[in-house]
Amino acid sequence: MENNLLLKVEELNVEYLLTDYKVDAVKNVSFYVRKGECVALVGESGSGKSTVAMAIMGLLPPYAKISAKEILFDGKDILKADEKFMSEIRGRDVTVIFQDPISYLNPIISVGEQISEALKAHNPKISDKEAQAQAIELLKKVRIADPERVLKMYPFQLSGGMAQRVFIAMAISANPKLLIADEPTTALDLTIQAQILKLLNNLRKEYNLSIILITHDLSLTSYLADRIYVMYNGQIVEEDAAEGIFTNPVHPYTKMLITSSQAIYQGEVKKLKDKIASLTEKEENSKVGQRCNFLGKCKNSAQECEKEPPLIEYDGLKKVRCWKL
Amino acid sequence: MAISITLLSIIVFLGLTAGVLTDKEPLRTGYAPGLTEPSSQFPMGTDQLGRDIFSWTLYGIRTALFVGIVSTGLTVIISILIGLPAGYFGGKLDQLLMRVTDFFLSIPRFILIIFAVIIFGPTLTNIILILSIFSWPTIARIVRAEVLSIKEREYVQAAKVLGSGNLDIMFNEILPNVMPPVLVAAALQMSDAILVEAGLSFLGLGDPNTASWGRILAIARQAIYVGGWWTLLFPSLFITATVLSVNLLADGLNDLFNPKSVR
Amino acid sequence: MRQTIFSIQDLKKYYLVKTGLFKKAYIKAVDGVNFLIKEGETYCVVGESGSGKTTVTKMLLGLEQPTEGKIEFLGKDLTKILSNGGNAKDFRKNVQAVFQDPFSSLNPRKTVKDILEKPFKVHNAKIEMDTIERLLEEVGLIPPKEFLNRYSHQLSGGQRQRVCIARALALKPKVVILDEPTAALDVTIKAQILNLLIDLKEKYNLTYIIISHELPLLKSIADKISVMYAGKVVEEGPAERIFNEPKHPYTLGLLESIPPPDPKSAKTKTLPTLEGEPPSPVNPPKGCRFHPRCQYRFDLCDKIEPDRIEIGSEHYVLCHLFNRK
Repeated sequence: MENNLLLKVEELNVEYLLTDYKVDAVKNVSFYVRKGECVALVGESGSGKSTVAMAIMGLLPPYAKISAKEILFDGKDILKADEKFMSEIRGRDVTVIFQDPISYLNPIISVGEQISEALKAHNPKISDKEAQAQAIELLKKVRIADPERVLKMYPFQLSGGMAQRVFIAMAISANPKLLIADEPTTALDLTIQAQILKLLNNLRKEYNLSIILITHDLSLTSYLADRIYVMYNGQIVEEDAAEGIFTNPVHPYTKMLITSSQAIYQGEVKKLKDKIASLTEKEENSKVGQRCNFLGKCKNSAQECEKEPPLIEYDGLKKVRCWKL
Repeated sequence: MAISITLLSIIVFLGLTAGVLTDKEPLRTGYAPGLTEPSSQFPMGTDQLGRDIFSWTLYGIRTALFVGIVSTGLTVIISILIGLPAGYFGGKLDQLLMRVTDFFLSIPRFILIIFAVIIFGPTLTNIILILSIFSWPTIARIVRAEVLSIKEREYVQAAKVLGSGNLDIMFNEILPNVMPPVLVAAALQMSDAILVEAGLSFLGLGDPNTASWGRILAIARQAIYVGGWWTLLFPSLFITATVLSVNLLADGLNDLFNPKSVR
Repeated sequence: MRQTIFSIQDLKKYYLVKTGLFKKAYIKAVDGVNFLIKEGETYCVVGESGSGKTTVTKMLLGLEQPTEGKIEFLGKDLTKILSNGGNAKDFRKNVQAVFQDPFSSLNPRKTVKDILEKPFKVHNAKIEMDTIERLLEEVGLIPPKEFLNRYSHQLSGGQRQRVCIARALALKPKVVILDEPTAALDVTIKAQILNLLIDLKEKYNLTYIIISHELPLLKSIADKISVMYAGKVVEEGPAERIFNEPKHPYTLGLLESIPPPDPKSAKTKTLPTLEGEPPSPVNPPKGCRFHPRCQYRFDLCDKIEPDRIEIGSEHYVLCHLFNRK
């Protein structure tokens, strides 16, 4: 095993067993994260990207069935670990930040107390005073200008950007190795989004933190991500270094994403009309597993697409799930 | 849900077929010389005046369900007429309607119902009307709260932008979306109405011309001392079964309307 | 000379809020804005949350009453049009809206057919199945018969937004007000909806008023842009000037916060950020409202409120930097 590997997920499958049917949310997903690396999982809503993150954290609801060849975190197999071990890792070595931090903060407890609680959870010996001092330090780390005042505030008094900073402060309170950022800026305004991205970037350098960035917005990954996994319908359809994804997309879905993002960015949506018009929406209940997931939307489909394509190495650099290479 | 519907259907069936299941009239005296134990002739026995408890109990289903359904229906209509405009228009109208609601909520309901029945006379129609008039505030508050949240939804804004009138928006756009929680509350209201009617009859304030479970229980109060346990047991069983099944139905409806709570 | 559709002068909207048990304060949601919207134009109002842009929309649609100032529609006072004896029906027919959240903008208990018949019913117009089916085709829901009897939860996000657009177009309006029309959609769908809007506009010579926080999106469609900040329009001008020669420091910061869909250019320039957060609308800063976050501020900025200065043809800016004659 590579020395600087932090997380390795092999053949992860997640099924949601609902009352009268089941959903294959994640199918055969394998990926890895190195120490200090930022990896992005990109996909539209329902592509299974958040489910992957929750599976790693062991936070999926009871009706989700997880199976995998292995999930190695820092050399330990967390798939076989018991709940006690998981709850030790969770919050200390692996933390997660969400899209709507306010709803994950307790509305009737002040920010200061919540941070102190997080600190005490992993270091029960520290006194209230020390916890307070550390909380102030943490808030300074996430670039909150007047930490003393913010400590006394309650979650509803925080703006979206502030709440996300507080949440990040709690997330890094135990010096984690891996931060899972699940749509961390989706609910935020442009200028605040840029601030949070900058903050994540700085923290990553300071702590040699690994980040899994989960987002539907490909352009967000351009600042942070070293490598990108593009997900579609529960599968990884393309993986490559960030630049490879942007400059040389191969899978038709990745191409669609890149075309759309660039057309919007450059204000050329009209020019690329025909290209964009071919992008149809996700079908409901498309049959996973028997044929290519993307069939029915692909202009370039052929006979063999009736069978499910494997993730094939391409060009020696990237992997793509498509027959037509 | 399945249990409650089965139980409720059995009760309704017994009530509807009461005329076939027994040839005795519910309130007629003299079928037996006095208090009689359950036998093949009187499956649930008779009371001191020789009235057949079996027939009385079965016809009692009709009374209970009639009072429950009609008074609940009226209650829901009043609640909507008060809660919908209060929530939709807000402002002064809301203030006024909600203060009236608070007033009704702050008075001891059962005592007031007793007074009203004494004043207006114990007929079934009066009991139903009085029950409805004193029961709407809770549901009206539910309606108002729902309207407050739904009127901010974008499809309501869209209807306004299309030029729909207030009545159209209130009844066609908002009301259907308010109904799920109201139906749950209405089911609970129905079981409450059945209990209140039984209570009134027990106190001798029921309609003397209808068969009501409460009145059998009032008789049981004396009969029980001379060993007439059947006068207490059978009507109590039916009250409990009816109220329980209606409450379970409310629970079931709640799960149905909030599929998120499905495990 | 093109006809003026909306003329808005010195529009203000204050909300009274309780800040304590006995304390009251005004939220200055919109604090003196001017717009001139001409026929056939795509007029965009850009701003972050709390900038007042949504309040402007609501006032334009007559859903909120202005505290001060005047809105004229085709030369007539909007309050008069909407009062008894005015021609409210005619205004409603001509000014339609599409809202942000495609999940909440369709009544969950109505079918697509019900929803599209509604505008005709409200305006006592004859409903023909042909018309409704043609509307669905127009917005790209093909074949229309397949969609008529569906409820909103049986549609994808993009399809819902298409139904909303169809509903807005049913009465052949002059003006369509679009409040964050693509904010809740995936990137590929965003591009498609944008294209649809461009096509429809050309076909029916519509006037669009688009309210959005997604600045990059507007590059493809906007003719004119107003940038709002804390209840004021800080810059207004032709779209190409706003994108290519932004003058106000806030516009500049906003533009720089857009992540480019290209890791090379993203990583070479350090993440540009505007520090700080927008001010509280209850208690906006003295002088220029942007001065606490502005890197170009000088002694005048925290004392005197800047005036609207014309710095080019139809290009206005609210900033002291441009007043040093």
